[in-house]
This record gives sequence, structure tokens and C-alpha cells, in this order.
Amino acid sequence: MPAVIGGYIGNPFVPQRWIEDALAVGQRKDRWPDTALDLSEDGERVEVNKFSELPIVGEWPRRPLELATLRLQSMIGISLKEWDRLSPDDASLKAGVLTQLGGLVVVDGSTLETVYDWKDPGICAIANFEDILKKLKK
Amino acid sequence: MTKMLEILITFGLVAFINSCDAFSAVSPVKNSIKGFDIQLQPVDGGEKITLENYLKNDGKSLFVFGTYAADFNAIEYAQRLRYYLPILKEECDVTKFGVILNCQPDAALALAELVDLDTTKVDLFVDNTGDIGRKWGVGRGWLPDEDLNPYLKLFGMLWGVSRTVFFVPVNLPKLLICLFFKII
Repeated sequence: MPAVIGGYIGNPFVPQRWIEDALAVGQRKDRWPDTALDLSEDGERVEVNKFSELPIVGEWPRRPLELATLRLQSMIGISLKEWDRLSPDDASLKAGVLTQLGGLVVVDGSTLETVYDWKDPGICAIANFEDILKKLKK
Repeated sequence: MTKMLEILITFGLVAFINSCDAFSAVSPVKNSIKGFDIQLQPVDGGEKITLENYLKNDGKSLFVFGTYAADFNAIEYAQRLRYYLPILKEECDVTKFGVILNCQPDAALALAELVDLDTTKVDLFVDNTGDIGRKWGVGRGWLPDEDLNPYLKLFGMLWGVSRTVFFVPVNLPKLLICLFFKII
């Protein structure tokens, strides 16, 4: 729930640059809501992000409702619309994958020492790639 | 002046709420992938490879233990990886990217297509029953061993119910404070 609510209130300090890119992909694939961004004619570039036009919070690196809008787009246009293609089969359900969470690991390829790892503590609470960048750049 | 104070308090609250990841306290410390007997099945049906051998590389290797293909976490991992892959490659010397999904190959490929994840740059693997993630130690969600309808368990998790909530005595005060502020 905390990770979900974070999508509604945004964050005035920490950017999540992937959100705009994912919204653009969704719009290019005609997923609703499809009015958050103005895309160039060829659909390749984001010309205007409407969230940046919000008063006061428009300047935040992660605007309120921006991530929530993407999640709505993903829920309707991917999870629900494509459920038949993407849903777990009976064997998968029986094994418990519906509630199983995920994680991520980055290792040094020569020593296999772990450089970064993360195990999802809940729904939508997945690894923060901005943190990974900071950690790996050190 | 009052307005200014309101804005400052709002900013402070939002900063606090967003900085305290209520569950970060339960994220485990780094664990090594060395010695794990994990065999990866490539999505194209090719020969299996051990996780250790797959991750061997001149640079760094990033591997996502995904969930089932229609799941929010799997979708967001794919969306984030799509955006950050070139940056990680360019700025952090990450030169190998792998994702395993708990589904059949068709579903994994469909998800990659839906989020425009370039499968020539990301190696996709499948594990329909999620054994590999469990071996690595991913969370199994709410009441994993109870014989309840899985959709009911998922519904509980959507409301934030998770086994982890009940097993963090050391950080319980922080967790409660964070949840309180998030709820209001």
C-alpha cells in the first residue's frame, strides 16, 4: 500500500525518470489514459508532459498522480486487457506464483560478488533504479 | 505567512512519507548468488544454463527475479529496465541484463512486446512455477503455506497485508509511524 500511495502523492525530491517513458510507450500502443503526454507526430518524442503544467507540483521531479496514471494505464491496458495472454496457468497458480514477489541482483561479472540486491517487500514496491544508478556509480 | 507554513508542512510531510519506505527495514542484506543451484530456462527453449554461468561477464550483470507476466511488479520491472538499460550500460558498466518470469514462454514474450522491452538486449528466461525465485529467497506474500484461494490472498496483499508486516519487531515503531502518515 505505501508504494501504491506514493504513486498518487508524488515526490518533490526524487525523480523517477522511467515513468514518462513508460507512459509514452502506453500512449503509442493506444492504452488509456492517453492524454498525459503530447507526443511528436512520429510518436517518438515527448513534447509536453501535462503533469509538468500542474501548479506548484508541476516542477517536482515526480509529480502527484503521474505514477498512478501509469499504473492505471498498465492495469487496464496490460493486466486486464491482456489477461488471457499473460495470466498464470493452473500449475503456476498451484505453485503460489500469484502472491509471490520478485527481486533484483547486480553482480560483478568476474567475481560474482553481489554489488546490489533487492527483494520486493510488497506489490509495486520493486527495486528503485535511481538508487541502483547511485550505488553503481560510486 | 499561514499559507507559507501550510506549504512548508505539506512539503515536509510529503518528503517524510516518501523517504520512509515502510518496508525497507525488512529488505534483506546482500546475499551472494554463488553456490545457488539454479538452472535457467531461456524463453526460446534453448539449453538451460546455471545462474552463475549466465552472470559471468566482463562487466557487471543485472538479473531480475520477476513475477508472473500480468503482475504489476513484473510489468514495472520491464518498464523500468527498458528505460534504465542504456544508462546502466553507459554509466555503470552493466553489460548483461537478464529477466526471469514465472510464466510460460508465450506470456513472457507477450509482456516484452507490450512494454517494448528489447529482447535483443535483455535475455528472457521462464520458470512457470516460480521455484527459482523462491530458491533465491523472494517474498512469498501473505500466508504462503495456507490453503486459501490465491486470489483472496492477493486481495489481502493489495491492501498492504504481508507476512513481512508481522515480522519486523525491531522496526515496528518506524513502520507504524510511516503507515500512519501514509494513511492520513
